[in-house]
Amino acid sequence: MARRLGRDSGLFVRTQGGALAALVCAASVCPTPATAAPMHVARMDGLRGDPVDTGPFAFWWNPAALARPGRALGLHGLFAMRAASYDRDAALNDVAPDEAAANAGLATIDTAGVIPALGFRQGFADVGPFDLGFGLGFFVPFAGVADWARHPDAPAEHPGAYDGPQRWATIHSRLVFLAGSVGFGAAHRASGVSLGIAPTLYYGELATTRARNVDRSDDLVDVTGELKEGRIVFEADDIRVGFNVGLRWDASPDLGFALTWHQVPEFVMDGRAKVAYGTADPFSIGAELAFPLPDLFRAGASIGLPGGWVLRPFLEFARWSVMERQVAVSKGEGQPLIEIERDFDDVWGFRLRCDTPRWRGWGATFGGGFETAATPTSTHEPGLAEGESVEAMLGLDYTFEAGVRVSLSTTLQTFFARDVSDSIQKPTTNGRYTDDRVFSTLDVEVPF
Amino acid sequence: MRRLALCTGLLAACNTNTPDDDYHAFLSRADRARPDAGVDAAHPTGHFSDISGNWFLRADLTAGLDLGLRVRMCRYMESPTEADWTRCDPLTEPGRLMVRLWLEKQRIGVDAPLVETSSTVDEGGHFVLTADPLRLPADLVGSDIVALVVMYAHITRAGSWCGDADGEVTQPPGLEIDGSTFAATRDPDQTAKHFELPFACAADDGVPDPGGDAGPGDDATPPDAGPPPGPDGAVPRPASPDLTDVPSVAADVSGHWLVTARLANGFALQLWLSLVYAGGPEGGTLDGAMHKTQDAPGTPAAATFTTTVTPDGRFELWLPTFAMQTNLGRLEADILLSAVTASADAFCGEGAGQVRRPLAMSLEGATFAAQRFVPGTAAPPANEVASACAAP
Repeated sequence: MARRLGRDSGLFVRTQGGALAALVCAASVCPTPATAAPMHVARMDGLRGDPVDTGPFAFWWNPAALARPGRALGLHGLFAMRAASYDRDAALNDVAPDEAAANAGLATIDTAGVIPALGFRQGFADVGPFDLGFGLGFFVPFAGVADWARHPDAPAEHPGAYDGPQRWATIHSRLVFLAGSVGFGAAHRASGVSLGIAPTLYYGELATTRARNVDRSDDLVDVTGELKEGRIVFEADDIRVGFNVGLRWDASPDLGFALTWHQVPEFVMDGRAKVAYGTADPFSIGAELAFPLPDLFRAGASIGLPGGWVLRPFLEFARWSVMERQVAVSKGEGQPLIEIERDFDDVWGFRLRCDTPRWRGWGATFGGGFETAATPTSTHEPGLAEGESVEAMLGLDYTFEAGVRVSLSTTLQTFFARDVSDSIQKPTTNGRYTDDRVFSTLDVEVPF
Repeated sequence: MRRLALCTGLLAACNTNTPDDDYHAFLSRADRARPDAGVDAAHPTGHFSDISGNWFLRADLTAGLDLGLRVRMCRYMESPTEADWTRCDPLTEPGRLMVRLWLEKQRIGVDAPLVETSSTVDEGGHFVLTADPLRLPADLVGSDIVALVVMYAHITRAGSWCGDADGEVTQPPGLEIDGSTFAATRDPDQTAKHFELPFACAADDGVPDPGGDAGPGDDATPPDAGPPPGPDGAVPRPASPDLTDVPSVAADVSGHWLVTARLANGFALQLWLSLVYAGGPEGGTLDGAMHKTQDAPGTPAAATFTTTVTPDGRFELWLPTFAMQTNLGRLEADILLSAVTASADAFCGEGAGQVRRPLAMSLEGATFAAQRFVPGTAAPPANEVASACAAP
């Protein structure tokens, strides 16, 4: 395994893993990729976070649930860790033997960090035949940060090799979407039907650097023996508005159904690219990148069972097929600067959570889930790509007499290892991929 | 604002490594000419030495402005007094500087400085000077200029400093700074005249060119960058692309054209071509000039040419040793364009030849298409216009 270089703690860190990782990462704050489908990191309210959630983050999970009497403040912290690898196969990627040390081999990443969120809701009972409510909050719905391990033992005659064999797809990327949302809900008491909507303002920022040749090859030198490998860094941002719409039906106190639609806008990341091709003079140019994000559709139910057990099945559909091909182009000339094949598939996810009966203020939740792959093998690459995954989760919560609820949860998500041999990326990204993630949440709900 | 938003949302410690840092670290490892402060000090391209004192800085801005500035640099002090500036402590080791800039016509220590800023010189002699804002008066260039200018400097072996600059002109809009160069010369007595001084680093890593006539892109010329000579010393002309299957008609193609070319690897390029056609049923001649699309009307052409046109409107342009300054630096190529005339408002064709600088690329398989163009207007993006002949 390649050695890693330490970096400043901060937005993210790379670590050697294990306990040291936990210690170092606990002191840092950063987003990390990702869950549910690529980049989704909205896990507010821990294992309660699903379409039937009635907590202070209902403006996201289902704004229809805002129409409940009471007032509460929610504080959320997501601590996430990721360990992933990509073994770039020399033969599958047509890497010449004398360049294998610089253009093939194992690339690794260990990332950790914390994402906070804040939510509030206020409900009003008996407004005519309705209960009404509103909520607001700030959170990070999507994020992906990846800084792949460096290879200081790579051949020094190839200055790009230091950045690892995955560098033609990504070296260091940071994609963060911040969101602020205000939601409103109304519940018809007699029928048990609730409706809600939450307009959401998104701010997205992208910064990414990768190796880049003008001909999209992975050549290290040109025909004259001069340096051919280059670099591109693209930094851009955009602000857009979307909304969440929720529908809920409480058929009885023990049986509820809910639907949520997250309408997520398409971003056009506007910024600048700095480009260095081979021995050419580096230059900087205005650039933009269309960055569609998927609408999310969620359906869930809360089914009370005898003895105080509650089952919560939860189906999710993410319309990732909107991500067909990404091309960052220069402004004016429309010169392609970064071209990434995507051809994503829609993602289906299914989770089943079970809440245990409560005992002296204590409660527990356990469950599992499965997600289909967003990325076909032909476009899989070390940056934004995910295959099928399974997950297991466990949570514990305690409610104090004053009503303050504290909950902790941990979710283990593992992606099935992928062997890619049909890559259509340029340069190709054939090889073996592994990806494992741990998400731990701490949530505090304060009613007042 | 963006960083503030990010920090607010993530409660992040923001002074950390970024993708941009990784980009510059690569440039440093690749030992490029572009210096960059604070990156990978293990691979310095500069040389630390004491640069405190008075300097004359000459800058060649890509906006077309040849600018002279007087600079005073001293070891950094918190809240310095005028006496501190007058004493001007030396910078005996890498560390922070306080910097003042004046116009050439002003006097250091007498006139109010144009900009007061600070910078940190690292062990490799790199530092970044940020002038924000840099306000140039109207009597200098005919109108007020307000700009953010970031100068990436390194100290040369000779103890001077130079580099290149980027930034943003906020007034008037539309002026480019990126790619500008500068060089500083010691000027203890404030007697330097800018036209006598260099304005860019010299090729041998940091010694300012004493001649002062080395324009951007003229440095770092590979020793084998010259055109490959033929037996008689001339550049051999490549075989003409076969366009016999592409229909062509005689037409007067006089006027201005936007030529959009696409290389076999997908790389796109746009040029502005000015043509004057003289001829009749037996064919004729074509005189032309080639510009960048961004050139303003009246700008000297990068190349001029004369060629013949067949009775059915076919013509070829052979431009050996063609050279032009581009975003990638100095372009040097041997270009053959074979064209057919589709109508009085369109011609197209294929290319051949070789690009030698800044990257070695064959023009085999390159295609192009031309449409009428109004010089001085914005060209449509290359990916939104035709770059090849329509299929027959």
